[in-house]
Amino acid sequence: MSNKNNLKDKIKKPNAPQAFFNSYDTKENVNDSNNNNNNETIDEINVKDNNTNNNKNIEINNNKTYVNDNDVVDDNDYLRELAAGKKAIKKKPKKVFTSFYMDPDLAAEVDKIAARGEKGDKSRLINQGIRSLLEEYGVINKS
Amino acid sequence: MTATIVTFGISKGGCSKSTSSGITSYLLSQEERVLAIDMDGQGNLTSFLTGEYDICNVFEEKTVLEAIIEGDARPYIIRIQENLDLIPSNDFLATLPRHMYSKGLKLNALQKTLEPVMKDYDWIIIDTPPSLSEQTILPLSTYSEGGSHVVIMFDGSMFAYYAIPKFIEMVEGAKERYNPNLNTAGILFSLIDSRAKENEVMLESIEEDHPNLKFDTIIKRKASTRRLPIAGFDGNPELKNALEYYIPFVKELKERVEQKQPQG
Repeated sequence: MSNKNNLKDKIKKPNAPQAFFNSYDTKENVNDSNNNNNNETIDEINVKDNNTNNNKNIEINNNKTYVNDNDVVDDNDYLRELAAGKKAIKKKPKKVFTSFYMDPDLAAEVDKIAARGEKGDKSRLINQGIRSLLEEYGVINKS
Repeated sequence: MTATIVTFGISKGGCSKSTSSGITSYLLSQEERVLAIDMDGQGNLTSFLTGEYDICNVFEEKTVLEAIIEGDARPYIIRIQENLDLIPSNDFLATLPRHMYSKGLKLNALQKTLEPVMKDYDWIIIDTPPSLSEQTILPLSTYSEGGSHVVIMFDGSMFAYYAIPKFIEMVEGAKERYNPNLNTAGILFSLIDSRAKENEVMLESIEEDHPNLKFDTIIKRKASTRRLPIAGFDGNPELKNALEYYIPFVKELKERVEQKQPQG
């Protein structure tokens, strides 16, 4: 049904209801694709800049996007140096966007550490924390 | 046989969708089993049938929103009177799209929700909001062996005139993708001012644009009908007067729906 509708859309501009229905078709296709590929999904953490406000809740959605395993980089050494106040070597692994809520105390600590680093360091820190936890749980292999 | 579904809708507010769906539910329930469903977060049908206006507190987490999320209507049906049940709504229905997205629900979610009770009723009457949204599309996408029908409300205004083809596009979309036996039962005139000079032109225009769709019955606004949400149905001394135009409408609706009932 969705392929037929996609073809129709190319021939004829969809009206608003068709666009509405198509938006669900698209989502279904993504879900189907997810199931067919049977890949793991990794969420990137979106840490909002809290420097300008005191709201420590960090909002997140559950968008799921695929990431090639080759893109995942071990940031452990980098973050250890950063937390210790040493000069860290910059790495730029590929990430995906998502969002979630953090406990205020954790968000404050993350902010403090990230303030000593560069753009993207918050994400690296959160990724490393979750990676360590999931390795401990046996969900993913140790890197 | 499963229930016959009738959805009241139009992409313009103030066309008597809630009043008409409420009165239709009441009149049908005099002889048959009716489930009314409020898909409008304003909750006017809910207030109309229950007499309760503090809907956010009274029906907190007891609404059609939770029914759809759980995929089962049964825990959320409340009894109004003999033969008349209701699944209420309140303002939190605004969060439905977000819940549907996060749970991966599709536009047939209301059908799945109603499947356990489809055979418990003769009629399912659904009130919808005046918008292109999940709250409107879900009822249109709900299939029933007993038939699924739409009543398009029209108040005689230019805004409503141009809203009709938009709503028909929604009906066609739902019919094509989810609900092949969806049928437009008709366009119901509910005139705010029956003396307005443009009414006759509107009537002719609708007849030309949508032949044979206009119900013969025209609902003329009456103070007694307007007072129904205050006085209620039971013991209302002006009830007969308030329902004057709706009694022939419901009779006409039943005739049209029965003609479209699937055979076999």
